[in-house]
Amino acid sequence: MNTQLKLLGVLLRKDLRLFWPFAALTAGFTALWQFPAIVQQLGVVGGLVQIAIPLATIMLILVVFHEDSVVSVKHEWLTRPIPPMTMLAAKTVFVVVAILLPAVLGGILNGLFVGRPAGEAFISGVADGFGSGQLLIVVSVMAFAAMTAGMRQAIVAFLVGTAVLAVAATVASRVAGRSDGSAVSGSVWMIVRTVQLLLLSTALAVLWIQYRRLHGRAAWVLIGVVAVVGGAFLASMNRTREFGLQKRLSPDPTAEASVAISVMPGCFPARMLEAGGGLAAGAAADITPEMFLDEQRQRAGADAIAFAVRLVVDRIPEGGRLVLGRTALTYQTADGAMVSLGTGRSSAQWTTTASGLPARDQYWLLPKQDYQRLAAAAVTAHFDYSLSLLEPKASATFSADGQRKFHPGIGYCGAPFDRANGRVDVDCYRFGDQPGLFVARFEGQRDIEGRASSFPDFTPAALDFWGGQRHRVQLRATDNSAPRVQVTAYEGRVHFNRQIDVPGVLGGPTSSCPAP
Amino acid sequence: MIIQTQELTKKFWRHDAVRGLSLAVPEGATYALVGANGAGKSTLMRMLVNILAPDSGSAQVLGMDSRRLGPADFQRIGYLSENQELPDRLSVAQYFEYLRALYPNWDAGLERQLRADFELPPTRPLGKLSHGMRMKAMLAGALSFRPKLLILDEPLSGLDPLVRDEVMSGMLSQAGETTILISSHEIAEIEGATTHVAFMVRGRLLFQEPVESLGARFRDVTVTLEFPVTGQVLPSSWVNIQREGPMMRFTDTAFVDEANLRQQVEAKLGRCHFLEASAMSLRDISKAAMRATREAE
Repeated sequence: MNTQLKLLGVLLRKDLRLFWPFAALTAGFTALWQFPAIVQQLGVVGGLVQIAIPLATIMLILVVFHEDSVVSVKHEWLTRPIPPMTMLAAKTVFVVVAILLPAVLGGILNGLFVGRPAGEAFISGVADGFGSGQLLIVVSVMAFAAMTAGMRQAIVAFLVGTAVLAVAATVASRVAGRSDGSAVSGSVWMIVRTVQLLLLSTALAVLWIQYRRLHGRAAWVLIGVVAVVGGAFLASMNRTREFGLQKRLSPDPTAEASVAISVMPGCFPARMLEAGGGLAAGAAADITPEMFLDEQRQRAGADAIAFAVRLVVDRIPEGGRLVLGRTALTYQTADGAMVSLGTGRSSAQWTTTASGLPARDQYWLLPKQDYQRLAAAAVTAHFDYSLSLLEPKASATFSADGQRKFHPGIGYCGAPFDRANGRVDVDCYRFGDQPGLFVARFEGQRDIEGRASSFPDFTPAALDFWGGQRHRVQLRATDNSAPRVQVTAYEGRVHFNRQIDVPGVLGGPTSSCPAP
Repeated sequence: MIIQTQELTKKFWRHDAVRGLSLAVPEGATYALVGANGAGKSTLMRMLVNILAPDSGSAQVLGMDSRRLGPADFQRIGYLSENQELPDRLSVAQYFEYLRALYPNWDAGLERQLRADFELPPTRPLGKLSHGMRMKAMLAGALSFRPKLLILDEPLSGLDPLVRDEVMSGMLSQAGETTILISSHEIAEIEGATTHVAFMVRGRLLFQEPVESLGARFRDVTVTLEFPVTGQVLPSSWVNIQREGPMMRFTDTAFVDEANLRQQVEAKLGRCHFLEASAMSLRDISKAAMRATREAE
């Protein structure tokens, strides 16, 4: 062991001798980048530094690995008494010292510089500088460097690989027809984490194969197999399958019974879409053209009917929240013919009905020809809602006085009160597994709240163990006294589908609910 | 044998770099591997030091399967190649400091002596050295740990005569203690320094044997016959045959003595008036052997 450590030291010293100016520059920039306040003041230079850091990092890893290339037949270290795994260890230590450590130190110093508690500064510095995203990139570049013998070969391989990936991604997205649906239902982690795990495990396997010096093309074959299998898996994943998998991962499937929803009875508010894409004046004034994408409006054509459907939450467990994911609307005639309107657009916020129940509006466009066909037949509107019931896992209440403290289950939180602008900036940092949804509100005021992200993220804790996340919420203060803030971390309890059938095209028979 | 290969074969796509090659290098030999550029010498040497894996056949190096050679074995094997990649930004002194730390059996005295003999400038980066200086630095690095086996791939290529002599004398200072396998596309470079020689042509081994016996069995023969003779079946050991009237010239690859040769000539071609069998240099032997192979193919 001592001999190996000594050898590692010899190799590390050699690389530091060769590359110390480049390494020092990269380390300096990386550390500087952890001080956003300083970088912002640098203006254009700051922008250039932002571009230079990833480039310098990648270049440094490549030159250090290529200096003692493992795939070359010309590098002298191959016939020296140097175990390949010791060489890999030396290169890894170099990367840690020159790239990861400066990021960690910079992060810690910046944390202290902006007044965070020492514990938070340390944890966030380590987790951000040494986080899973950072590690993934570094390990992937290391594997890439271990497969190429020189910079020219690496550039060619990179360009070819990028072109292949771009084509594959385009094909896969066309096959899968992906949109933001998975983000809405919080299942986007399945794609993201699958790609991350595939990349990480492949990169580690490639490093192992290359430094075991298993002759031949084993690493290339492995990459080919992973690309094909991974690509096929990703292409086969659509939003329905993703949500199906998420449902199976529900921690408490029986909780579904505790939720009751309905569609607001009565005719759906509706307006006509004019030839220019605007909406004709009508009773349903809250339906606006901006609710629909240009593409949707063009597809629906002139005189299409825009209508709103209100989902009402009739019952939900105390303290729980409902996340509305994708909602599909399909019309079915008595003779079995189907017209699918796809996924509806949701309103930005939950509202409250006159009877005080939470409600959410969703909007669809029905082409004129489809309406005429459906209106002539006995038809049922079939709604398929993807829902997630959330429960609070941890909560903390504190004054908006800017003091940062650790709150169990939540992390380090602080909320300075900006009196001049009448707002409170809630900022919480949590290490390890993250909540499905992070919500902040003023204590005792349920109607003023903010979410740290537009969509929930139900990544299982087992896949979320390394790294940290900062949750930021801006709350608008109603008066000038420093309020108290309550932050709540919600976790998914059950994910489920609920189907609701409504007779007629627009919420009732055509005679009573006609087109506008 | 320090090195022994059996039917060693290596292909690069469709190109046969080394074809069914069986080689035996005895301990203590200075073994020259001669062949034109592209003959497969470098590929063979890379297989011997486990940089490349053979497609078939096997190679034993220091009694071990070459595919199993590991870091510990390179304490006893030195390898040097003309186009080897070095840590070019290290100075000569830093390079030797680095190498010294890798070998427990490093001979610092020998290093000092070789660096002095080769006049290596300690502060100059390796990348700024001339080709000759670079080769000398590599050779000093390969000799200073007193390897049991030294494999040198075209170490003299592109060197001026003076530097070539320095490198050769540095190398020969270890001969005997170290078995040396040295490749060259130009036999004249190493003639006089080798104990054994092997010729490679297009991935194949033409022959291998001690220099002494090789010199003894190759003769450049000139004969003048009584009458011009054509169409006779001649011994296969006569190669590169040229005729001009009653005069004939060829290389005898199985020469024993002149009386025996005269007997053979007269038995096949009739009475001969004149016969001369001149000893050949290694260079001429290699040229004759290569020409004969080309004609045979």
